[in-house]
Amino acid sequence: MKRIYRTSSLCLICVVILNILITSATVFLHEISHFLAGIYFHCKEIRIVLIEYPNLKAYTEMRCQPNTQYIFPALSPLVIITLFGILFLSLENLPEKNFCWVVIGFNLIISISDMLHFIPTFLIYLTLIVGVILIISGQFLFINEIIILFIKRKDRSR
Amino acid sequence: MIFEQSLTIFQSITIVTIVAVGFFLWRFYVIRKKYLNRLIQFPSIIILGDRFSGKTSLARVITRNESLAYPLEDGLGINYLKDGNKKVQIIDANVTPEEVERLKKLNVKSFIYVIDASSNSDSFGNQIKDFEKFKETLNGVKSFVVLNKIDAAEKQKIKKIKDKFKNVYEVSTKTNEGLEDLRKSVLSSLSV
Repeated sequence: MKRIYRTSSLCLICVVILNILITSATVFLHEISHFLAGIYFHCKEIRIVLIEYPNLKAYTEMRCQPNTQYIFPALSPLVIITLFGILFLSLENLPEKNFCWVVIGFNLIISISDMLHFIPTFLIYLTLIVGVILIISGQFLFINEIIILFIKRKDRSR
Repeated sequence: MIFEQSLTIFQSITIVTIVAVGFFLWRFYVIRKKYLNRLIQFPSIIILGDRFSGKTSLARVITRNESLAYPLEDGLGINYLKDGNKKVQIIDANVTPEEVERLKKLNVKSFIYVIDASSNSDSFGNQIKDFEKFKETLNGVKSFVVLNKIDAAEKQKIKKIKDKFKNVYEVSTKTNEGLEDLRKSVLSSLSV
């Protein structure tokens, strides 16, 4: 097999592994955000399920008072995961900094079902579109940079 | 109240990974094609020679840079030699005389043939035969014959090569001997 294809396959495997790790981290952090917000706003019977067998869905269950207290645990992942995403921007010189947009966009999409009860339908669609655009832009930038880095890498081995 | 995610973990990972793999395959194809076109059009000097004759070291030393490791094609290391406005790519080509045909599509200005002068090299006869095959394939392209590793060579062998070729650059990438002259000649050949 040509060396260029062998090494680019390794690069692709790294891309896949990084994406799996980032997606899983975002899913778990999303649920943990609900959980922590539930505790902070004194909700009761809080239960966090990170992987429910067999459908592999993650969810957080809690009983809050029927007022604005419900909205805060619902919106908490947006704040916490946006901060988590912004952390990636500190990786200035690495292609991984573009995961910032992937994480924020992906979180918007998985948050839709949390927000169904209190935001209008057009905002749901808008959130979905913004989420998809962010994921696509982030992946595009990340992959472009990682391929160029791979092509321009210096040979220190020979 | 249950805060349930819109997608299962499996669906989430699958969607994000499919997007990433799709982008990777598309961008890899496009970017590689773009760089290959640039590689083809850019003025080039090819370094040829026997295995372990010191082609990579020579490319590194005359460009004063580290090479890019086979970034686009197997067997081709790329360096850039700059002098004022002049810029040329130095291609360290690890190819046999039979494989050199594929380099003809490049914008080759000249080629440097490295002869290993050390005692543990292939025989001079074989190296000269290879040079003639390269010259025949790259017909009409200016050539520089470089006798490398002169710090480890026998005087008799050097004389033998000098008798065969009119202009031989005696260099050593280890001691940097003769490299400045070679660098100047390569650069001046570009303006002709």
